[in-house]
Amino acid sequence: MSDKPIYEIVDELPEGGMTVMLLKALDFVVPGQWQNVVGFENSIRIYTGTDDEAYIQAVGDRVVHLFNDTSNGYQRALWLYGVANSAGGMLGTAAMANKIGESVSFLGFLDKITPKADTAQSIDFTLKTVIELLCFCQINGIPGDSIGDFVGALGEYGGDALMRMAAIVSVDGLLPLGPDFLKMGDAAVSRIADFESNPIFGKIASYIPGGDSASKVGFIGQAFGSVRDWMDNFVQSRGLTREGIVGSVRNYIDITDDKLDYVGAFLDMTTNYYEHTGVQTLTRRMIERAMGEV
Amino acid sequence: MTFRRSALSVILTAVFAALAITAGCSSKPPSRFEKAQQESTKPKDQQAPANQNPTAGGNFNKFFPKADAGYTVTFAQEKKGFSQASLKKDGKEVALLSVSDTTANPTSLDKYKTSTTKIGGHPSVQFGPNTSVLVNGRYQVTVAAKPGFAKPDAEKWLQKFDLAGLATLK
Repeated sequence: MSDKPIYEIVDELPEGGMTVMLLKALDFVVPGQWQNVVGFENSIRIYTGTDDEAYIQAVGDRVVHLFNDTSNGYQRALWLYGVANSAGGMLGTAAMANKIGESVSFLGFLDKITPKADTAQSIDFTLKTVIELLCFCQINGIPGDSIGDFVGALGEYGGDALMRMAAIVSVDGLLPLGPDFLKMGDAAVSRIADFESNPIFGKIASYIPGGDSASKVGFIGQAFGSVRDWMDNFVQSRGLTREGIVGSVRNYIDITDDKLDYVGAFLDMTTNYYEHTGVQTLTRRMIERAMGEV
Repeated sequence: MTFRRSALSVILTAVFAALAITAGCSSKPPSRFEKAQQESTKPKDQQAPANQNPTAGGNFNKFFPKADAGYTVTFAQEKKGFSQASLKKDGKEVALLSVSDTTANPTSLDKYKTSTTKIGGHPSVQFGPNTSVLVNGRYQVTVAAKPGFAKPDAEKWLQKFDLAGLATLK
């Protein structure tokens, strides 16, 4: 049970800061798709397109009820978005430690306790992809193994959801892993032991279809395999490159280091794009449902 | 006397400080949705009665309108007691189409008490951007218009639902 009312969670979404700057920097990937809609009442006004106060009250009241009824799965989706976010922060730290291990020889022992940066990142990347699928199923009320429905819906993705996919591809895929990021994702989903030792996998495993780790990672592989073509097309059709992403980010955030994997780790640790856009998606979906129920 | 005066001033200062802190804490106005928060976080048996097992949303899908002359209908959400599709014209969303089981949200029935109009033989109401009908006293069919989607269009799309079929749903 969330200890905060949904209206406080949405009211607390920031209007500026690192996360918002990063998302603005990624506008060039999905032009005009994302607006930083913050504030609960403001979100209702924007998505309903009305000033009818009685209607706004009824929709807001209904959203509060829907969110607090845990059987709807909205709180679980919110929690999953938060976990995806912490995946970035924690793995970001591990990646930085590993970089030190590579450049400073006496710290080479760090390699023994920290995964190779690319290894950790590629697992992070596939987990974030699968969390999007799980949240999609939770929010839209379809079974958690509906890979086909999710892949079909990706073509309809717009707004904050499309921006989140753009950020997953850019910030967690292409930027830290380079142009072969999809192949690295393919390779990651065969390393069951790496998932088993991953704290985020541990947290979300019970929501991933499958009886044991092997079948759960198998599901992740299947889900990732189905989404990778969409991602590949996304990158190709937009001519997306690491340099293009960094160039745009540089307009908003002061990046002094040219090492692209450092930039990726830096953004991982200092932003929470996943949770920010996740709350926006969740809020919009609950408002739209309430519009049909009041 | 001097002592008493300074003691008094200490007390007054403390009282004013306490008042200032209280005022500071309560400066944020309560949310207009706080009442809903309090109601919906009570134990279930103390909340206003609502059907916890309404008709599954998937049962409503077959009564939705089909794509028609430049318009597409894409299913978006399917929850207990609820199903929703996005109505698009040339790729742009113009309205949300929904069917809901009002037993899960009985307050939604209140507005029909004063309804004087009918669409397709069912009581109809306007509420904000919504045009809705109540089928068989239970299932609410709604077209929520995006700005620019006219009321006659909403009524036309309401009648494209299989309202007669929905009326037979138990």
